[in-house]
Amino acid sequence: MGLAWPSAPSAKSQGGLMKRWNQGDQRVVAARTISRVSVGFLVVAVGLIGAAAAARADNDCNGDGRAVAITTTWHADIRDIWTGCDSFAIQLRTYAGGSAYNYAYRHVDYPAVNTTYSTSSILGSAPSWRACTYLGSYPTANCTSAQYSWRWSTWYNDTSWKRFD
Amino acid sequence: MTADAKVPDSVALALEGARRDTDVSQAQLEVLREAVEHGRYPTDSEYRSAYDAAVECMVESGVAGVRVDEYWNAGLLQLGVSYSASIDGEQRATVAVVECERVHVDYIRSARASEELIRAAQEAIMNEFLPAIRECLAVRGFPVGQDADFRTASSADLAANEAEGTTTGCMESTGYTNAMTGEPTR
Repeated sequence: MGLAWPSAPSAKSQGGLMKRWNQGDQRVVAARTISRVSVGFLVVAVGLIGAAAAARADNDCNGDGRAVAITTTWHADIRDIWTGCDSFAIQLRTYAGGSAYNYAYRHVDYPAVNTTYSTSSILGSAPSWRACTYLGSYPTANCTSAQYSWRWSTWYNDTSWKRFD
Repeated sequence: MTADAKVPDSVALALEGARRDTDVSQAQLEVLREAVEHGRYPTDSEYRSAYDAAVECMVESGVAGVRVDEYWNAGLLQLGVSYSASIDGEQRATVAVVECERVHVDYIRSARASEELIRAAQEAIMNEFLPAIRECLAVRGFPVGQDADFRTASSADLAANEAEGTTTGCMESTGYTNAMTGEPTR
């Protein structure tokens, strides 16, 4: 999807958090400056996953033998919006028709290793959307949609939308 | 600050940061001052109220379909938001969401997110579920041994899931994931 990032705000201290909206490369950088400036950035991008049968190649999500039709409203995009030591933020997007999208936005502080963090279902999306599994090391997370498993690893300057189908 | 109150580091640092920020709301500052004064973390109630203010800010900024979502991280309440935007207004809406959180609630969230607090809660949950996860892995045919630590066991579970083509493994079936990310029941 490759959307541009906001170009307006300049560096703004948040005490514990420093956000920088960089016009040049259109990215958001946030670094926790409260306590461990020396700690490396932790960046995790999180997406939406279906609760069950995610890796089935036939899209038989509920195991009833019938393939599930993939509609546009079930597509979900993700991107990392926040980076910082020991925390990450996620922004999830689903297509709502026309030029409209629905979004979810949240932080997770100090994610636990190999733990799956879920999101509330987004308006208009399937009810079983969930989030990804934080792998406990440099920015990696396992993500699955209702149809496919998906693994994503990225660095903070990657703010493009990643699409699940 | 009262004489004996031990102010959590995350709270003191959040207040310090909020004071340096030019347009943080007075309400957010007041919550942090109160917390420092009494040597405690901002309460769920204070956090919810601050988030309400952030949502009001988002709505006033033109963000549509705003809804507050509740999440739990090792028993700690965390609030997020869902909203709608057109493709043309996406950047504007996202900036408003991020900025409204910063002005009204980010420092409070940061103050509550003490690493010490969260790590201790996570450790307790991991220790509680580790024996069951080991047992579950053995039953699945991926034994890790009785001395395996949590990281080893959870990595084995992920590997087992991959081998079996599933996303629901021992972390889920034992209740670990729910305990770590769900609303506390005890």
